[in-house]
Amino acid sequence: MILPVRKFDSLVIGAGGGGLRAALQLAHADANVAVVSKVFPTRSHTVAAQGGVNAALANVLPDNWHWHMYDTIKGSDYLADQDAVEYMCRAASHLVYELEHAGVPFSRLDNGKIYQRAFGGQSQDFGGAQAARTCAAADRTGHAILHSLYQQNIAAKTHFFDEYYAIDLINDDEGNILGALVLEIETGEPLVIEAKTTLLATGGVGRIFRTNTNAQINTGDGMGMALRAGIPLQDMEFFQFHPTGIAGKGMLITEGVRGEGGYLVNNDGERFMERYAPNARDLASRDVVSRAIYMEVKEGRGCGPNKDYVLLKLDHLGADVIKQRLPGIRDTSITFMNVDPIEESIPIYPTAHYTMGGIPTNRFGQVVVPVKHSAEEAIPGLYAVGECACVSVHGANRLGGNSLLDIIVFGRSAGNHIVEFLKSNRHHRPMNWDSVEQAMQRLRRWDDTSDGESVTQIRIDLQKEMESHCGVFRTEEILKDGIEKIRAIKARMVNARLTDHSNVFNTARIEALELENLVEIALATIHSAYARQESRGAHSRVDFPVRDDKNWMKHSLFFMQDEQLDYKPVRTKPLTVDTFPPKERVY
Amino acid sequence: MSFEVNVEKELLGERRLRWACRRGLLELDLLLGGFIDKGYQDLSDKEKFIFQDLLLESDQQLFEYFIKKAPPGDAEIARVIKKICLAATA
Repeated sequence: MILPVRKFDSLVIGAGGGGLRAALQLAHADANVAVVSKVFPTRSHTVAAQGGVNAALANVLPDNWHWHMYDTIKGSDYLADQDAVEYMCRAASHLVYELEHAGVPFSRLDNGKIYQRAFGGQSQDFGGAQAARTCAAADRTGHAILHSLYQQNIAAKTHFFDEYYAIDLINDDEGNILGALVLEIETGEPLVIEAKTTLLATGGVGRIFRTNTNAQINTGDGMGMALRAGIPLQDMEFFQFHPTGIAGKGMLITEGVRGEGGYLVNNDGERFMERYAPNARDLASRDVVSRAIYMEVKEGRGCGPNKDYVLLKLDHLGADVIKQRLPGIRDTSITFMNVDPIEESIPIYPTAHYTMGGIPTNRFGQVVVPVKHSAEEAIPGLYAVGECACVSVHGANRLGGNSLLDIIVFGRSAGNHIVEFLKSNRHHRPMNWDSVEQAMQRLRRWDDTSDGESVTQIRIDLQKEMESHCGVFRTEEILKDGIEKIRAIKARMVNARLTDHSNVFNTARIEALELENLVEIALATIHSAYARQESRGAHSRVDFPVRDDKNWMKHSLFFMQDEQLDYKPVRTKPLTVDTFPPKERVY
Repeated sequence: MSFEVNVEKELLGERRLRWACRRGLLELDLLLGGFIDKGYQDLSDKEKFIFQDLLLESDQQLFEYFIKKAPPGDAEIARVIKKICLAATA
């Protein structure tokens, strides 16, 4: 079969903020750059980042990048790589001003400077008074950044392949990445995109869990491609959960609701947080509240016909307070649950939110893997940025306002590194058609199926098992059992079927390919969680409740081949300042 | 134009629509994707055109129409938005 081929200097897979920031840097350097996106670029999940972007501008309160660095490392529970964190925090102010100059409409102070709001985890003077570090464009910061980057890329003549789905990376026998096989969703036609460099920017993978805040597109396609190319995933056990998601739907109900006096009740109407956290009660830390909800449901005190959620009670606050202070929550609850919190309680279950782990990279966005005696050897021509990558600036837990910063800082940094790479790699390497054929087989295998299990049912079962075995309540027994459950689901994939073999906008085919990614990433996540016998950041083990720096201050690396785990040290040496040694994380 | 051709065009349109309902926000995935399965078929032709035009709006604009209850001034568009919201809790 002769496949059409397009050649570019650089290929970017994913058109969220990270991919578009990198593409812009490349286009401005006159590189011939292609961006592949499975949805129209401005429908990427970056639009969901409402909170803002952190930078120590010191417009509201005293601040500097070094304090931001400290907060980020402390927030990461000392698992972040300190060189990458220093690089990010130093670059932040410059890049926020750059966004401002590009037209992102940041909210303003009366004196005309960019307004900055206070977020949890921000401090002055290395753990002192609250800082105000988050720059926001009202509640649409991600949207504003994404649209600005898209418009700038259009002006810079970036070539967009909209509604193309990336199947697999193409590599040669020496391990160089040569581009990717992609599929035009409208026609079902495959296309080879040859490129001297390939950057993965495909976002997070919240869809491995039943209850999650992520858009449906967040199926970890770049992570799946990396695993199949023999690249490990790093720190996948660290997944940020939020205790109060709308049950069965996933959307966040902000902590502010409990701050205003809302509280959780079980099926007996009991305010159960009094048992788990007698002092802080409903305002206890996220992991404590999440685990309490899990326990109530597990022990049969859940609400509803399936007893699988608890209730968030607000009606006692009165209609005026709810309408004035929590109008967004009320609108969301009415729209999706037909529940008006003025009269009824909102069904709640912990919801998966952010993937701290991902494809291992250095601060230049280069994908790095262990080779012989080196823990971090760059794969020539391959880069990753954003939520699909693990650079690692978030470590075991991400601070609010640092995800948008991550994508603009490392998108730009990867773009700059690629520009230099292109100067010394002026020609495309010879195409490896065996690798293309391998990717084509992955595509064709679905067209050879007609009998067997439904893709949708396998996905539902996967998400359910991940929620119950690798969610907010983790013990050796539960995780071990979960590994077997996910392996069994992977085995079912062999008999999964695609009934629709048509070519035009065959979304069922795309969902089958996405499910392959979800299954492999779920396995990476649960294996890494099972192995890590400590509690650190978002990874909370009931049977190992304490952080163990002696044995576990290291990054996990999961390889798909033989389900192997390896580890590499945390980079504790910053670029120019002193190391922040691990301390107990108290807020 | 033959009947078959029309059917084929309608089918193509619906598949394209289904993919266009994949958005950057979970809330929109649930509302729009859910509506394609439950409600879209019952729309009049004019309402179907309105739905298709709605999909061209930005995610943030749609979020404001649906969640923040700030529908556009046009009564017909507002009615389609209301139908989408009602289908989400039906």
